Amino acid sequence: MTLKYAWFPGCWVAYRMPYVEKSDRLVMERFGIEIEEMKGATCCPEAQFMEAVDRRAWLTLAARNISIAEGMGRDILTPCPGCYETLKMARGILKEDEEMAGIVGEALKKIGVVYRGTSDTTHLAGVLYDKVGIEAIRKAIVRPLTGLRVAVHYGCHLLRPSKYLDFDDPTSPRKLDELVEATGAVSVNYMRKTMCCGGPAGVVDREIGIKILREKLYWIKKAKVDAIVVACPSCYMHMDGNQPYVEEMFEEKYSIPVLWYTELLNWAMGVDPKDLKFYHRVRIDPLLEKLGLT
Amino acid sequence: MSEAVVERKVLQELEEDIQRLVEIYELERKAAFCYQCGTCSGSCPVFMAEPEYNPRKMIMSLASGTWQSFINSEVAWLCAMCHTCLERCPQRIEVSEILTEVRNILARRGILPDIIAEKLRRVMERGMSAPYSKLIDKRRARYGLPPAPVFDAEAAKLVFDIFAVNHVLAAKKAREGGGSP
Ligand code: SF4
Ligand code: SF4
Repeated sequence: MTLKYAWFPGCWVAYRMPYVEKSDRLVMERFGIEIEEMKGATCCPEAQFMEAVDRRAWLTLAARNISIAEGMGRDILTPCPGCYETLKMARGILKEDEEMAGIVGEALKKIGVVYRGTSDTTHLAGVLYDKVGIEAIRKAIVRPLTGLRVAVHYGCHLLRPSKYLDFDDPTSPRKLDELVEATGAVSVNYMRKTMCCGGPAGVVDREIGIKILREKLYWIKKAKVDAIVVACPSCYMHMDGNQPYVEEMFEEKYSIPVLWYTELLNWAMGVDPKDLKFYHRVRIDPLLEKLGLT
Repeated sequence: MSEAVVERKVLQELEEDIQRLVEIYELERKAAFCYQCGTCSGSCPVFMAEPEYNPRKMIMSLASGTWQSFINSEVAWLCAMCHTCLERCPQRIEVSEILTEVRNILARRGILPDIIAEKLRRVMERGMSAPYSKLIDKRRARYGLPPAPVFDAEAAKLVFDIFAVNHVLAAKKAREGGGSP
């Protein structure tokens, strides 16, 4: 079975985090997931500014993006939970809300777009779990990360609102944990596991974003882990990039490395961490040393 | 959080908008079933860090016509859209959806933070919300990646025109530069 998708990297991954795209592409190649770029897309668009400013424009632009994948006869694959949420929700809302579907349909007609609602959207972690499967991933592991204890952070947009999203159970998700555990690492449970990292609130008010992150880090530290694992570019940036500011504001020590989930998979599949060229604000060298990967 | 000084005229317009929202969501009836249990606020990451942002109170105040308190500032924009309140409300009140509609209403009157306006502008200019970089393709090449996707700013602009999203930016400018009524 070949898995073919329309690739929607989203602007944050494509323009700010090429290492994430690189790492994800390596994993996709490894498991025969074929992607083709979507031409002429716009921002998904991000709910925090677009849904919040004008839900009609948000849904119209999302539907327009979906229509591009429809033209390719494929479902959409994205590395970004924000894009996943927007595109998945838009399709769900347009299916159930007739009035909104009418408004959006009118707008799409004006710009010459035909939307049918035939292309679904998936996050890469979902394809890895549901289509590739844990068994196949386990078989690809050549360098088990035995002894590594991690805190898996799902973030919000893979899980909620669950009336539109179907990545996993919104209250006790397991898929990301199992993907991570396929590498031989242990996913440790901790308080406030499905809570928001504070990234989006921090965009509007930095101090509030830092305070929310502190709450997450506080419980993660109590769980005595070596690293945090994320699957969202925004969580990655906030949890890694702003850790020093949490330490400063609260006069506490955290320095917990933040890893991208396919970064970890790649390590375990034999890729040299140096070749992935991830940017990490919290240094990962001590961790690599502990794992004997330096 | 910057205080948004809202003129009386704008408050009157908001009153009409909010009344409509209350009707669409049948909030009076729904809020009558609100336990005031605070599950929404207790689950809210923003409330935890900033008690001024209180979903339980916001929902109640919308239904009871006392919303002016939180609408007088940009506090409504703190919502992280994590949708935990929506998931957990035992009375199935669509807390985060309703608060998103409130921000739609505020935006039309120009009440929105700078960063949100900035992202709208980026979408009009480049079709995307991340900051553009001229050097991106060089950077991507170092990772062996093909050139970055070019987003269709023209299409975004057309859609913005249809829904007068531009007006949001104009209203913000007028409100901030307009001085007192
Ligand atoms: S969770 Fe629902 S019932 Fe409880 S206070 Fe919030 S809106 Fe009211
Ligand atoms: S969606 Fe907004 S109001 Fe609801 S819990 Fe999350 S941050 Fe709070």
